[in-house]
Amino acid sequence: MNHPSFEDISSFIDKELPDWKIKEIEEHINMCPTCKEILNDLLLIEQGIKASHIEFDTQTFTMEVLEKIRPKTERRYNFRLKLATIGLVISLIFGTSLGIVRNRYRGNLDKGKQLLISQHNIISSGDMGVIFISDR
Amino acid sequence: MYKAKNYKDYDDSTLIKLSQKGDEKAFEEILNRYSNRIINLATRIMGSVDDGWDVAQEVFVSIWKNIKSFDSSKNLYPWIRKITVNACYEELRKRGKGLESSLDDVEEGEPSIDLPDVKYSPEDNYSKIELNEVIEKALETLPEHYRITLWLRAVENLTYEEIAETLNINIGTVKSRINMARKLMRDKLKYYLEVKDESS
Ligand SMILES: [Zn+2]
Repeated sequence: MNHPSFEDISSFIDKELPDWKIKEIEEHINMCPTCKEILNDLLLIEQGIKASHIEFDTQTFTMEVLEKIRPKTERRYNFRLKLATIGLVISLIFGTSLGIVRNRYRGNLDKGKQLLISQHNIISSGDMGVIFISDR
Repeated sequence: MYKAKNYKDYDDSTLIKLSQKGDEKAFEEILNRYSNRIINLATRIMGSVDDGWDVAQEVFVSIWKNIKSFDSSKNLYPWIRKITVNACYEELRKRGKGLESSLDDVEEGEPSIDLPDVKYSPEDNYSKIELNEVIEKALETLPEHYRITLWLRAVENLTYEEIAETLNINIGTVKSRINMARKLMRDKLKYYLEVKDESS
């Protein structure tokens, strides 16, 4: 058999030839280094193309698609829900930290007041933090 | 009665039927199954990851909108693949590139288009990974109608007949495109393949 054409070797890789022709080419390639080299090159290229398959972040992709297919009202509702949640979290954090600061301030004030009272016979007006110091 | 709701266990046909009833979770499972392949396909046709990602998203959105028209007894993935190819060509058409060449029958012989050389400086010994990188680079420089035909053959593992159906061309054109694409790839990669042969 003469060398098979490049087209035949290409179709041979894809098994897009009649069985008898595949067999004929196979037998030839086993004996012919020239055609074997062409076949090997094409197989390497094939492998390289297969390897160029990328692994994408499909989780993000899916989330974005789902966001797009949701009805607008639901999206608006979700957006509002998100806003409300963020607002709640912020006010909780803000409120808590404000409480801590206030309690600490009060605690310090109470300690200071007690110290002053014990040392200087002081009368406290109480909660408002206004203190009166009596003359000795 | 208790009904298992693990969507991973459902076949495509069930997922379609559920999606047709508006079950978003079923559609999410379809996305999990096929989005990576579809983004890859769109990326190859469009020639960029960003464009491929965007077109693939539009494809799934339009599938959700048109899911009711799909016959659930048919295979899902080939349908999605065909929609993707059409959507990419449509996008390329809007941008005024690619389509004329993709619809032309390819003549055997030397290509009329000037192809840029692969810009890699080969070393005497290089790994398979490096060769694959050069091959990917070479694939990117192919005209898009060669690139997509070769991709459908190599990665999607389609027969010539399936490629013809997907691209709306005849089998003879598929065959000549694949031959030409391989010829071009081999010419571009000649030096690298020779080095590879010597080093192996
Ligand atoms: Zn030979």
